[in-house]
Amino acid sequence: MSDVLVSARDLTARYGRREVFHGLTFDVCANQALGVIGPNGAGKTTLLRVIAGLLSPSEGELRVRDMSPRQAVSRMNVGYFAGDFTLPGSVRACDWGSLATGDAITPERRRIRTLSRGTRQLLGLRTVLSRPHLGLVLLDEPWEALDVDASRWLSRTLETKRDRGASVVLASHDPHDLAGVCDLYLFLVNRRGSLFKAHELSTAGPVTPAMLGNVLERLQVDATAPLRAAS
Amino acid sequence: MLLYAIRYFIIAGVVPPLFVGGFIVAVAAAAVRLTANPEAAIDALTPVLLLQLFVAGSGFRIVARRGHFDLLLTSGAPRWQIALAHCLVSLGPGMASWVCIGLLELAASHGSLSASFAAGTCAAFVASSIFAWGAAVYSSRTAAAIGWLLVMTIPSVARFLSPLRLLGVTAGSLDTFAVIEVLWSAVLPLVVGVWCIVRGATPLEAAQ
Repeated sequence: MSDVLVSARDLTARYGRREVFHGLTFDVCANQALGVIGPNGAGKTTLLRVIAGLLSPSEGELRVRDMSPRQAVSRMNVGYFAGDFTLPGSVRACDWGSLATGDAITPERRRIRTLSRGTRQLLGLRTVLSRPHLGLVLLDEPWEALDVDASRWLSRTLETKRDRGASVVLASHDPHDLAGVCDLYLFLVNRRGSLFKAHELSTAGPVTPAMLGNVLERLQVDATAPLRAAS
Repeated sequence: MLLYAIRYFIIAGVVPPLFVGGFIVAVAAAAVRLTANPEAAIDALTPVLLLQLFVAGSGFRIVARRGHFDLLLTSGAPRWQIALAHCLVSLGPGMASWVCIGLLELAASHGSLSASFAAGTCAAFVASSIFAWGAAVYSSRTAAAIGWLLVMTIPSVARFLSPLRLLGVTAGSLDTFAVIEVLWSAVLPLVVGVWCIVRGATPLEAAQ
């Protein structure tokens, strides 16, 4: 169990009185990728920010390499990206790209707000993933707006990071994004989490989008069953 | 990591170029004025101090909640260094302009006048800049600007709270109450601002 990098126990997050998710328990080891799947507003972004140490859980415990997330972030290299809308529009792309390592990752001098959405997304991803020796990669809807080449680059890069010992946590509402990419799948539906290992979902071959879609649909139906029974 | 955080905030545009341009114009105007009349330092400093009140309150939390500081907050930089860097970058242009005008005054008066570096002027610049920064950590630049406008334009409030009244006042003329007021107004917001950045959560606006 020593290679467990992210460990969550009965994790609960609330914004004021509104509960986002409740009682999440999971472990992610080094060399593993966890896919967090759920509909919009299910708490995927919140979960990633809790792991990144940007938010504290309301209840439960989250440890990253046996430390609090904030401590872990200061002692290991973490790559976190929440989407192109988090990049400041007035900054030049080349300046932003140099923020991770100091080296320019793009010669593009236009301001971020003038770039296409996919280019912004790629700039944010390349900046975060250019950090050396990443131990933990947290990406929120990373394939959003990427073209085919950029998607392929992202998948290859994530695979490389994972093979080099990083834990990868990816959040998406779209089963197509995460199918076949992850070792574990955490479905966030109706504030609850359901964890599946990839081989539990598919005994032969990689997990397909249809398989993930079916599980998501079943969990959503289960979640609304009491309401349907009452009506 | 402090230098990295400073570089990050400069690139992220904590002080927009428009405000930096404002300071350059104010210093240029001060240079012209002080060349003609070296005793006009207080008049030359007034627009810089007013601009500083709006610029220093750059606002941390609202920008952080848009995710603009995620890369820095997950870089491993200690939070206190992030707070310090944000404060330094927010205050830097105004402080630099103040020092420039002070040096211009000294040069124009051949070293005989230094109202720009009088105790009251120093207190006004340092305390009000830190106050403006600390008060805006939890709010936006616009909200802080509205607060300053009210403070500066309501005479009964301005009489007690406007930092302009301290410009040029020498150490001997400052009463004890004014000194305590200045210290209190600088230290408390600084502590609260740093505390908010160090301990505070950073939820994403779009995820709430």
